[in-house]
Amino acid sequence: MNYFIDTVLLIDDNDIENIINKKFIEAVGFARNIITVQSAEDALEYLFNQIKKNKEIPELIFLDIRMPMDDGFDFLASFEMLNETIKCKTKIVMLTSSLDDRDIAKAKGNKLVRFILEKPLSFETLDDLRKTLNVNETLDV
Amino acid sequence: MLSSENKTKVLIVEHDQNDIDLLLHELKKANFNFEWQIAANEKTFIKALKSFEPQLILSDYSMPGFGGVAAFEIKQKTAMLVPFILVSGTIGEEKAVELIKRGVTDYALKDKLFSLIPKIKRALHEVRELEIKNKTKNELLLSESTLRKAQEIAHIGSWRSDLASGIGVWSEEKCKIFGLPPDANLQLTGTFLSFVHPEDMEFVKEEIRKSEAILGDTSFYCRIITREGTIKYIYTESRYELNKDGQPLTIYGIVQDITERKNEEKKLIVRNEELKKINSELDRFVYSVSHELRSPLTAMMGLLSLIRHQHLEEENKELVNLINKSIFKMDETLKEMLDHSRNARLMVKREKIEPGNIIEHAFESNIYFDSDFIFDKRIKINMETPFYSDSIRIKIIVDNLISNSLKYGKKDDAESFIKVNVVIDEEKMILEIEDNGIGIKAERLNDLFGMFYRATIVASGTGLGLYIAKECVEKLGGTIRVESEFGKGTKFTVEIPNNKLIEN
Repeated sequence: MNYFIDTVLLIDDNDIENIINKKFIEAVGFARNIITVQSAEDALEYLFNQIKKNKEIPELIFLDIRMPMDDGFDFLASFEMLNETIKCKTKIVMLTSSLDDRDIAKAKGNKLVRFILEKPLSFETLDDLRKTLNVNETLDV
Repeated sequence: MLSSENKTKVLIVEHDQNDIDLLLHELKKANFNFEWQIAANEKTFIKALKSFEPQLILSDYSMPGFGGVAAFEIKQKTAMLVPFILVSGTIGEEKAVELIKRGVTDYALKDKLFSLIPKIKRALHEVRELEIKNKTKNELLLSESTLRKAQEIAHIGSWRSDLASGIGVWSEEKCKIFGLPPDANLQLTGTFLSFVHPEDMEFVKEEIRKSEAILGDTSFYCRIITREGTIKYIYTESRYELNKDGQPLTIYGIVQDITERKNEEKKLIVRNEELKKINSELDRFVYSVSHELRSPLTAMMGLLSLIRHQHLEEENKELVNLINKSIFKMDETLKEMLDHSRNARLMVKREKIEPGNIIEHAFESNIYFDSDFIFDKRIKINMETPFYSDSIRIKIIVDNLISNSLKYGKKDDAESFIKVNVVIDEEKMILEIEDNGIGIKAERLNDLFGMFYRATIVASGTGLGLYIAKECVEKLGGTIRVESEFGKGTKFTVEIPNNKLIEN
């Protein structure tokens, strides 16, 4: 199978959401490896371990906004601290079922956030995301 | 004190009929307009004082058993102001002077009655003068007391300072406001500053300096510490009085005790803060609950979408579709309830609106409903000038109208269209959304914007959408109207004022 990216990290406190998103990504062959964690803390731990072992970190992170303990924005604040050479390889997609416009406005204002997708994921939105990433890749070159 | 016929009432105290006749003759000769009564003893004199109410008393000096001096003393007790002239043949100069010292108005000798008329005239004139003076004095006293009471009620004191002497006069109420005894009226100019709260001192001095520089009217608020040591809030206004050359003579003004008002204001501010806090908690609560309710819904939508992606038997496909529709309907209701509570509670904001984005987003988020519906989407936007309004409410309005056109379109008509026409000028935005869908029966149009009203059973609806749209339009000061022909199509026209000018 021809995968679009190598690794994607899914961060959502709701395990069902993680399963659904994983299934979608598997179904369209979006990524070779799909890592799922249920908290921002676990996500950071995973990233630190990867960096310590000198392994690649995921090219794409799907990040839920509302989570208990550290929420999506707390994660972004920690992620911001990472070394530039590491974090430039990763793009962050915020996922939200939230109807709170303030959350969305806040996410839009964060320069780390490349895309904001409304839940639920669908084959169409994944396809759109793939196209947009492709265009951006080309532009980056 | 003239009677209705303008006759002067004269009480004559005399027992000798001859003397009475002579006296009356003298008065009549002088064309003196009068009426009279005679009192020959103490009893009739007291009675006449009460019932006749004389304006002038002419009294004999010595009568048997009842003398002029006795009559005078009785008169002094009840009718002080009534002139009392002694008419006598026997009174000596010395005695007369002594009696005048005691208050007798004048005296005339019986053998020189011609001198009586001028004396009467003078006496009546003096009484009249005195009455006028007393009246003016009473009026002045009344006006002063009214002013004092008014100052007391309004908690406004007044003051006036003579700039040459440096002495100021404070009204009773001003003294009271500053905690001084009411008779501490005389104060040196500048005493005011000794009351000003230390934290306000710099500000007050600056205000006074400014007013001195321009010799103009000044007003400010500050705190004072009264003689009793309590802190009060005052408002003061002052004005200069200038001479012909523009030199200041006096400065005068008012001081109002606004402590009570200030305390009420403080309470209101605290209460307002509490309400804001409660409102924002409620806000967070609504969002959190809606988020918690929506999460499982979106999970179900995602799962169904995955199931549909697999190969299903026709029968199961149909069932999955029905589950999907139910979930969308629930999701829609949830969104509408949230929209309703948002519109009811959120302040109207003023933001730059991009109608194109809002319209596109409305189509995208509602197309889910029936992805098989094929229609011609015609969007025309004519923006002469930027449009400012509240984006959340504009979104709610556009979203509801477009979702209606999508829901109530003719799904099998190849010519289906949805037209969105936006015209924006300095004054307003006109938004027209027109379709050639199923239309609305004329008799249903009146109730269309009512809460929970549904004009048709075709397609899923909650009956909240247009109600909320109308509520939002009204919050923004706009209007919404509908034209429709059953079976032909529907056109909604919304007008929303452009809030552009508020910035100035």
